[in-house]
Amino acid sequence: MVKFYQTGDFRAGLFYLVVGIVAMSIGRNYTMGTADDMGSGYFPFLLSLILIAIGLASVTRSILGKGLPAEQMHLRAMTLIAAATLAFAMTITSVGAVIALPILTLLSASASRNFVFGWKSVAAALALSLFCVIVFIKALGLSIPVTGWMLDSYL
Amino acid sequence: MQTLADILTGFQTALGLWNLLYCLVGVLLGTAIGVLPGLGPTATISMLLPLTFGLPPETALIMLAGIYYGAQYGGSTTAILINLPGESSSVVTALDGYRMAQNGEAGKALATAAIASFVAGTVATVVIAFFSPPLSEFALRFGPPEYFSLVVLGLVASVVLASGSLLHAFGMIVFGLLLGMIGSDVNSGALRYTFGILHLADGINFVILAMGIFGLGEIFHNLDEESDRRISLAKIKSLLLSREDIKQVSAPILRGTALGSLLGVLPGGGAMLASFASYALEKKVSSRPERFGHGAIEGVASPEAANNAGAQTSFIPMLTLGIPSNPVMALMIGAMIMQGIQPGPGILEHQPKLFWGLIASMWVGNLMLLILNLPLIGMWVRMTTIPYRVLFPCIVVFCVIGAYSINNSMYDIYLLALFGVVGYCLRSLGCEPAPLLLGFILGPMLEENLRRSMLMFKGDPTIFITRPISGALLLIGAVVMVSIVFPFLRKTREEVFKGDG
Repeated sequence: MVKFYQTGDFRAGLFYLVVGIVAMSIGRNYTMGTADDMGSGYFPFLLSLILIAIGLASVTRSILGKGLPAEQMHLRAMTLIAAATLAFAMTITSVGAVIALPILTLLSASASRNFVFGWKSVAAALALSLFCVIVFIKALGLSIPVTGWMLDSYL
Repeated sequence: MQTLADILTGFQTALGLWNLLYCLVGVLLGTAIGVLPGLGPTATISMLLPLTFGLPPETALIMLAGIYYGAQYGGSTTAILINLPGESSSVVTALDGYRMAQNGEAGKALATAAIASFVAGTVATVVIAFFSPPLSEFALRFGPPEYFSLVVLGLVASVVLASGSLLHAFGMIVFGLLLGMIGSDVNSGALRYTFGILHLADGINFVILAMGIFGLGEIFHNLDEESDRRISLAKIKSLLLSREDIKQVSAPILRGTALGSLLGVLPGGGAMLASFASYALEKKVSSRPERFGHGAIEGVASPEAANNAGAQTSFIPMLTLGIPSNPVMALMIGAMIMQGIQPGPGILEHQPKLFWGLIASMWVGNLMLLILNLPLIGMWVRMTTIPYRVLFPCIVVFCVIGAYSINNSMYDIYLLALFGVVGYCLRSLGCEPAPLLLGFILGPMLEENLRRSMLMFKGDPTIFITRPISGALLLIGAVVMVSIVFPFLRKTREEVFKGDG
């Protein structure tokens, strides 16, 4: 038996409610204006109102009917890959693509259950990083630092 | 005559050396991602968008379009050979195509699919060339109320496209519209929902949103059910069709093309809907419907024609009205805006090179696909053996590089990760995020036209119904809504989406 609070309807409904209420309360500070001369707050207010209504409908439906249970989320892969991207953001300017890219690759690859750390995975990460540096930075000219300021001071 | 001259201009543009080259790159990449499961055109186009900012607009759009229709070809190749539809629109092709392959007719099925796609692509190109100019002209008469209603219609119709619950599809649209409000208000310059972060003053970049939700979010989802695929490859004997085969498939190809062209134009339509609908149609008109599902050649010909035709005619509303009918078209509109081109009916007049060049390139691209695809089949099939554990880190890296290159800002990478998580959460709750992207792109347009209409008509909301064109558009929207809620049609809609993973 699926309890109503385990359903996707209920949780999604809560999500809409939270977003709607937050959007509305932040939007209170914006100029409302009138229908024939709308301020910057008018349309967001309407949207928040609609989203709250959808949220209420979704929660109500979950309590009344038999909804489907929300899918089980697996947090491991998500956390590892999110962490990998954050690590890239934090290292790119200091140590540059030559170090940030292999870290990004290896860390995100480890999200797979079939991942084995070893010389093969390191070599693959280095190859991918090299490919990216040559194609994206050298050939296509994206302005991404190859070596960051920290490495530059040693080179 | 004018049309002929315009088409000639188009071919002059499309056959330029660089455009030809980028078209080739586009269709090859498209076929590749069509072959690879777990990587769709939406994610790919958003990853590659930042790379196209330096190109001339027509070249950029020619390549991006090539990715989209190339993916339709690639998806069907693997559907037939290994029962693995790389794209959702080729799910139907796998039904009879894989059976044909098992019966030793793999080559016949592949050739049918390629010819059907090419015929459909050619017809659809002509359809676009002839129907876009009058539609553009018509749309030039639209005032703000008409545009408002048109956007509403586009959003309502996109619900048809979303699988799963209607309520959540609307929830996603409104959430997307709200995300579109982030940044400075065009009229007053007031900052909205920036949370005190200066970086958000320009709003969220649509590429980041799309990459987060469709790139990273998909990966999180796919890693849940990661498994190693075992592949048994069908042997390809002859790629030639006999005269009898051609006779058998020509009517289904034409029917599929017609149905696909029609469904592609409708807002909310596109390749997937077209292929499902045409399969159902073929089964209905066939004198021996029991053969379907057991290797009926019509079951390959018609949906393949339909999905390619639908993929192409879905450019019509995008090019003439500035209204995207699916997430890929939403990205195209975003690409135009970033190139400094105002999407809408003015494109035909102000950007004839872009408009006709893009259309001509579609035919050129289809020709390339026909010529290249059959000889390269071995390579495409080998690509499917790339395990997902190798593929997904590459996608992550390309997404991150793409995100960073837009502004060289680490905020964009934070946002990328955030939207990946949000997309994954929403999907696990049964909320399909495709309408979110449409809402996000159309949000500012919707608000702008609402405000202008109300300013023009002194705050009287009834004008949306009393002005004839606007009223008609809203009426169509209402009919679409009713037709989805209506139980019989609703059931078919669910059936259509049952096979779509």
